[in-house]
Amino acid sequence: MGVIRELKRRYNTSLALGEVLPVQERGVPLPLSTGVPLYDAALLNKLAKTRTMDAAAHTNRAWSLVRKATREEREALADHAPGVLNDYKLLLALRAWDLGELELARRFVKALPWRWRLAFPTAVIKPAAAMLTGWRRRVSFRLVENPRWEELRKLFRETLEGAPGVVILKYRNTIQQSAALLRFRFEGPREDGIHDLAFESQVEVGHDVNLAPIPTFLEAKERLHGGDLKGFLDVLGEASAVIPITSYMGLLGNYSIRLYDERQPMVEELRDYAIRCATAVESLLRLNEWAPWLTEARMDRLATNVRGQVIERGLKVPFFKVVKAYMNCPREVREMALNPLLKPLLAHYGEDVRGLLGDGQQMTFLQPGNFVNLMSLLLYVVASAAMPTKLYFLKKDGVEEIPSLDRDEVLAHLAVDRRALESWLLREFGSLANRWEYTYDQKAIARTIEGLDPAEPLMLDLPFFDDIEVLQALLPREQVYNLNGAFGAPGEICLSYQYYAEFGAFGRGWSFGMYSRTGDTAATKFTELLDRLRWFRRLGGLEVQP
Amino acid sequence: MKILLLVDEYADRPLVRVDWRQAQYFRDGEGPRPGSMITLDLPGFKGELEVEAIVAWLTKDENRGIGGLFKKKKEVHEFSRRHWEYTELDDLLEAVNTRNMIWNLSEHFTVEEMVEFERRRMPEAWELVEAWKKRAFKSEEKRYQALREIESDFVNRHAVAHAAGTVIEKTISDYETRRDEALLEEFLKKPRRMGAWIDLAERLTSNRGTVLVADAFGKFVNEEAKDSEALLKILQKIHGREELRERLTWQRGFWKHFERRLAFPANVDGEEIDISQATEVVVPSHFDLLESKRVGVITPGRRALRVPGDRWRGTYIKGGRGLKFEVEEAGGALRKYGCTLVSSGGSIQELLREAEELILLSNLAPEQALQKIEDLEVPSDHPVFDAAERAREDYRYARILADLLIELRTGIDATVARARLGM
Repeated sequence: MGVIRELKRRYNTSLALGEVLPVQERGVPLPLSTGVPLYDAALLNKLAKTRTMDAAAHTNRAWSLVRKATREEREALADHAPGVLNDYKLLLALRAWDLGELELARRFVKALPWRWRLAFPTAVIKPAAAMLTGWRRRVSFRLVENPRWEELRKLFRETLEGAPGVVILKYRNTIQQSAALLRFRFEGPREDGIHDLAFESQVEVGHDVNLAPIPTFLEAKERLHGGDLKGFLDVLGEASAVIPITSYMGLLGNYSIRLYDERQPMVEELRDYAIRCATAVESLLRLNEWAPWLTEARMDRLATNVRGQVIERGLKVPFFKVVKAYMNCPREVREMALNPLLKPLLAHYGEDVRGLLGDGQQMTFLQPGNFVNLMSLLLYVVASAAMPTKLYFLKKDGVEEIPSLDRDEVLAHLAVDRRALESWLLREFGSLANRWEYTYDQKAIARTIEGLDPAEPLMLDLPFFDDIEVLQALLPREQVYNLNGAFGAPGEICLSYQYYAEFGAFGRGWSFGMYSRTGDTAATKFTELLDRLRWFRRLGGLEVQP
Repeated sequence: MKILLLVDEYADRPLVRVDWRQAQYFRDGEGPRPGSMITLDLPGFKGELEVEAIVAWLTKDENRGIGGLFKKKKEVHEFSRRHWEYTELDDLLEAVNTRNMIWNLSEHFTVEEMVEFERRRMPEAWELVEAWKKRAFKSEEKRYQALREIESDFVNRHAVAHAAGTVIEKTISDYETRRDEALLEEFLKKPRRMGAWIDLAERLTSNRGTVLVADAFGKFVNEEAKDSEALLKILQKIHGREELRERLTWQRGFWKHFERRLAFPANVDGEEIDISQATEVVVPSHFDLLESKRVGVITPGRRALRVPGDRWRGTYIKGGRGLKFEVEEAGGALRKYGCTLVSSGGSIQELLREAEELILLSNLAPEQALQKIEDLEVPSDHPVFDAAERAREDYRYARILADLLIELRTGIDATVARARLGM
């Protein structure tokens, strides 16, 4: 039996028994189940508000599942920790700690991001402060009965030892909270430095305690406080380790220094450093804001940074965030960013998709010829550059196979302005791309689907369309990813669809509405689904592990 | 058949939609101006206004095989120059879709053209009716059939004449816009002082002029004011001029230039503020902030508690809903930003806050949740105690416990409370 249909079958069984949450209450809304409710929750549920459950209700349910977990289940999840959502890693670490399984707890803690790792003692002693927000942080309750104070201090010391300076600088408030609750005694020059940074307003940290870039940050801050802007930039420029962008922008904000203000003294040097210290995510988020002063040289540096973090070091930045950040920029910036930034990142996403689907798979895309959804088209060209693909355009009277589109050509048209992009669409797809009608030739669609290998993945994008013949053709298929409402085939998964109501009028027995559709998040959801599927296969015993 | 169409644009090419489903283009270099109204003349065309019928007619008219509909993906349907003319008012008496276009006339015709049309074509409308009145008919049926025959012509002439009012209105507003744009352009040629800006902003009265001057004025204010204090002084000056204040209040273009530098300092000290009726708001950029009581520094774009007053006036307290829980935890009164925040209780806002707390405690600390009804003398066989007991082992009972507690403590139906809390 196919993996998707088996996972869906297990989900339906578990749902009927009330063992899993309905899709709309899941953080990642997928109708899949391994057959073990804890595994499902650990792979899909987040401790955040959903349609009818608030964060506290999710926490309560999650803790209840984690408390009932067997040693075997905990071990299995530790073995698959990279696929477990952080909320559950934390709860599993707390449970293991509660049971005295300290090594197992360490494995979960080590799989968490740094802020969570540093907050682990807080989660043990005062979980509300680590897991909730706003006024809820003050609620007093505990999940772990015995905090094992000495062991917890030992773990915190280990965590501090391993934390690089940049982490200490970013999360000094988290360290302060954990240390205070633990009554932690800081020892040795490095820990003294961390203590001073977390607890004192006036601190000095030597350069010899392996806490770079903290000494640089403190020295630079002092210069800025003294009104010495040149000294501030000199200190930052001479240090080999950069301070985090959040600390840098925070410092500038405290002294009313604005990067957008042309009257600001030494503004060019200040901008250069912002580019130097920005993370990949920050760089993308600020691309439009920084557009007025981005030059070719700065773009090259920024792109090198982003490529290094995403491609070389494997940082996950969602596909649509990259494309949206890029599309929101003025034309000049888009042109500058095309080769050094956009092309390599999208090539990287193509490789990702190929890796997740498995080598040797051919993917088929079926989408309306008259509705050229840019994000869907991009997903196609990104995938087609990395693996064998087929693209079919659906029409009112037939289905047409489109010769492969060149990724670089599509991307090149994204870089230009709206009119030039439209000209390309008109040239490439004719007036078909400007037709406002969702009527397709269902027989031709069904024939096309039947002609494809049932084991190979199929990406469907058929807005405002439902048909029984198409469903019939989909029944034997093992992997159907649908960007709209599902037809209902067992091997089919609805990825995401969003229709925006623009106007509506309703009366007794009649209604009239205008809707627009977007597939903004579909590409991201697709990669997220493929990633989740991999873990479901493994934890559901449907794949032989390497 | 004559069809009136508005010309749109795609890919730098003019297009029309005879049938809304499909755009149709014009031969390169032969198209009308985007934004204009044209009369498409399809002699001999008798079908429905549907794309399939139009394409069939075009194929015949062009005497060339433009192919079936969408057989070729790159197919673009195009009209030749001989198919269309810019619309004249007389066309409205012949076209099949005149009444759909009446609302657009002010965008395409001048007052003079309308007057000329009325002078020339309206008497004809009355002549039609007069002739009908004088004719003798064999039956009532025939008489009204004849009226039906002249109905469309009569009504179309009147509809066009009736649109003259909007044409006049548009003509005046276009003039005012041009005048205001010219005034602003002239004004911007020299550096100006604050007084001159205020005078100008008061003089420009057209909608477009207000938008433009608000944007330029906001930019000037941002450059002129060194800090938030200076910004507030300028806003205070504008605030004193009622008409100008009203005009600028909702102009985003005015505020956007400086609002991220704007902070309204506290102006209340030592007072007791009852926050029972307060709700959390995102502070708007608004002149009413100047007249409001402010507890702590109030920053536009950030959250604050607001005790309602007229319009956007009221009492603003720095911080969000969390303050309400802080006041409750402090026993009903809390010293904050130089004032004492109190909660007299009993308001629906206060009850909803209690409901929210009960939901949280029922899930994470059921014993503490139960303590919240200690003073109510609930009988020991009430299901709330059983729910609390079961909630320790079965998470599903937390919701039952919360619902029972909400109804006991607040009197509000738990489902309603959850809906009000957005849960």
